[in-house]
Amino acid sequence: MNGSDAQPRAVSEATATRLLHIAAILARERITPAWDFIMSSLGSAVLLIAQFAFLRGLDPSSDTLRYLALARTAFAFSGGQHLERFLIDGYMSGSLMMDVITPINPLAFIVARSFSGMLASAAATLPGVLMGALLLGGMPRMSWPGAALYAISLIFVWLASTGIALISSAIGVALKQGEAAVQLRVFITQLASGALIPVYLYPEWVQRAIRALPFVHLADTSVAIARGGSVSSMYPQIIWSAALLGIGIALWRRRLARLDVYGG
Amino acid sequence: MRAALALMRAAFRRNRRSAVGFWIWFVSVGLYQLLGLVFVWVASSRLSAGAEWSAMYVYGVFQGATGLAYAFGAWTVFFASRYVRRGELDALLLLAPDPRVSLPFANFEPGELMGALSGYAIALIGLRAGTRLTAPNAALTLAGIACGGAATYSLFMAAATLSLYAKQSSAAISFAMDLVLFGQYPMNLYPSAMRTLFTWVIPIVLIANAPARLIDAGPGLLAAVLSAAALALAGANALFKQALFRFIRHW
Repeated sequence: MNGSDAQPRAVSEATATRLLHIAAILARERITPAWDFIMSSLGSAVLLIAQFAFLRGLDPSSDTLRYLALARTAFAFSGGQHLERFLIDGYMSGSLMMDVITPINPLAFIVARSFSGMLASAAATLPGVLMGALLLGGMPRMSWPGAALYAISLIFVWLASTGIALISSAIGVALKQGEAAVQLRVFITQLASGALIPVYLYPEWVQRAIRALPFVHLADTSVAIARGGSVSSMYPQIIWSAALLGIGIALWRRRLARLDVYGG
Repeated sequence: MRAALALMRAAFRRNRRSAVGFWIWFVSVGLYQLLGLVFVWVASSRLSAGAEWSAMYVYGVFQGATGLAYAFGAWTVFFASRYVRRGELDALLLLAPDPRVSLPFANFEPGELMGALSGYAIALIGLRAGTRLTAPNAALTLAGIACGGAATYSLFMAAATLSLYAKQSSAAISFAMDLVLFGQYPMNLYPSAMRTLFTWVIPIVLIANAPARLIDAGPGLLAAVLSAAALALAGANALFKQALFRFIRHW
């Protein structure tokens, strides 16, 4: 298959199973060698515990810590920089041509890669969050419905971040500045999502600006839902994730069609 | 010394970038520094008014010290185990200068030096915010960063020495790199068990927290920090030298 085949198409059950299988293979590829993965996870845990200890010292009530434990967990489901780097490096080096020559929809393959990145990112981050929260007394308290809604909202975190990664990598490829696009995306999403700094700590005017942007749905919205929000507080997250994913897919569909033209 | 300077000049030439490449790299480094700085500033100013200047100051000293250690210690951090695995260390041992000098200068990373400079600038901004920016304090900050850099470099070097005993020790080096991150925040905010651990067991306090106290302390602490840094550097170098002799014996 080539880029011109990247048309809307229903994904059959058999294809969905294959995509899940591919995602599992890609995720396994990311967490091996196991020793390297464990050490890098330990590194993330060290940074998290240091930040949590710093915040615990500043806020003995642990409110900030509980917020951040939930926000970091949500943000882990965004999958990090894996998809962007794959798309940018693959497009610039030409290896993407090989990756999309598969008998399934290339966009579905890209989504499978995003899913595997999310699994690996969650596996690397969650032990650190758990360790930090347990060590420093910042375990979040949630009701069962709150926990269930939070878990559902994580799906939309992943979809929204996949959309953002598709958009930022399309921009990076178009401008031929892949690394700059990744760095800028990391900077904005970390600061404006609540994953690094709780949104409520910003001055009022900054909070208003941040809440108007889509990045807040990568962490802060999920935290609000876990802390007693209702289903309706998930609506903006659902709408934004659909919009971001739609734009990202449209951009990459054009890009893949171009690959087809240049690729012959 | 001449050989060291020549190696450093070569490293600068090797790292020359195009104008566009320079600005992209500059903005990337700037954004990375800004991210940590915003975290420290917003969290400390909103959660504990008055704590922001010291948190920012410690963060700046930490960035300065680790930037300096990375600039000269890139070989320990990134290359040590690779050198041994691929046999590249054998070729480097044939160089005329002492490997303890040639290795840091041959692998000098000018980019990390920029990180160290921006750390110094952040520390000065912190001092300014705390209305303590004076010429002696700026000089003490520079001395503190140098001592912190020596302590960090020693920790990296001690971890890199393991490469000479076990080829697959890159994990130990990366863990040492991660561990120093505990030093970037004021340790008086940490729980007491962590404070004890990072002061007396793994002295990460030497990277930024102890040097950051130089501005308020008497000459006693300055002498203690200077001697601790010198001792750490001498100890790590001795450890490396001994491991190197063993490596050469098994050559």
